[in-house]
Amino acid sequence: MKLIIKIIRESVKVLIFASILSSFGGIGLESLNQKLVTILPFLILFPALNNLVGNFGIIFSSRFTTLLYMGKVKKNIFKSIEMRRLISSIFIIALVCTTYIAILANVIAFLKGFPFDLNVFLKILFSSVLMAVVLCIILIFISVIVGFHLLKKRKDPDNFLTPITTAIADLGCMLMISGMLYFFF
Amino acid sequence: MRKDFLEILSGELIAVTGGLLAGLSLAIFKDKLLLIPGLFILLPGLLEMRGNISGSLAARIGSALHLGTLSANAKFNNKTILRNIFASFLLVIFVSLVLGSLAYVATLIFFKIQFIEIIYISVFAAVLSNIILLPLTIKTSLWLYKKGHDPDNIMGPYITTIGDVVCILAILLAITVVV
Repeated sequence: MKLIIKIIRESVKVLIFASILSSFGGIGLESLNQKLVTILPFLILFPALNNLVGNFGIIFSSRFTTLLYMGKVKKNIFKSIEMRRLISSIFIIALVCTTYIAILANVIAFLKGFPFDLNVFLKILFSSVLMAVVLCIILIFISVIVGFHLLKKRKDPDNFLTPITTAIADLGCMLMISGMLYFFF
Repeated sequence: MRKDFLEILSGELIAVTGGLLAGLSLAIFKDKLLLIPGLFILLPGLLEMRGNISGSLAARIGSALHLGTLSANAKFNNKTILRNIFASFLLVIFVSLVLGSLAYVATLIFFKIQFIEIIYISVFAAVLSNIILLPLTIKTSLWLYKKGHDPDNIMGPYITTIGDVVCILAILLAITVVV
């Protein structure tokens, strides 16, 4: 029973915080829903992009907390070889994956009858890569600061970091998608 | 390191492909999406919730496996596992209620549309998708660890791949049932 209460007590506040954040992001998306549905590659890309950035949050925070518990990370994370490797891996993978989904989303949209437009494709590719890189930097920065803070407070970072990073990733992703839909299309 | 990189990269490529399949489902049912007021407010939160709750669950299981407090051979009747599933499920119900209510209020305030069914859609879709996702998360984490992989590298992308597709299908089913 203690474990259940601990999990719920530690998770519930941050989950509500995450829900409020994602709802805020969703309002922007709802107001542009007509545009989002019309530009088919973007609609197809949206869940993939959203989960790509969220995944980096989950991977980074879960690996970071494991390394924290194992005592392999010090205050200056760049002194840890494991952390340096993890960060560089995440950036390389972000570039590969965003290029992959931008291409595939356009191909699927084309097969669904959406006319191919090089200009639209390049806009989508550029905005996806930019979004992934910017959000990864923010996520890593926040994970490290919050992770150390939680450990100092003797709270389990596993219960906090994942919801916080995915919420920030989601909000950032939706705001950037809304911004790009508004300005580019 | 190379093993870690390849684990993350392959996991991510599979995850985003799953995301694209979810996007394709949205594209197929795009006319239905426009008919549900507040759906785009609810959708990101619901998609994120499966990552938040199942992701935290996988991270806890991963830490417990690494620290040796949970055996890779543990079954579903293991107390730690049962308590983790129960706590996660309570969180799913509570958070989906919050998400649905927020979508309802936001639609009412910003778009002047009253659509109470969005709350039912939220709870129905979240419960349905997590009945599948939570046991799957535990089972896969244990299996991966037993096979010598690090669940921390794979579970995030894995959950979101399965989660995206399951969640969007659950939402579409919920829309069909509720509306």
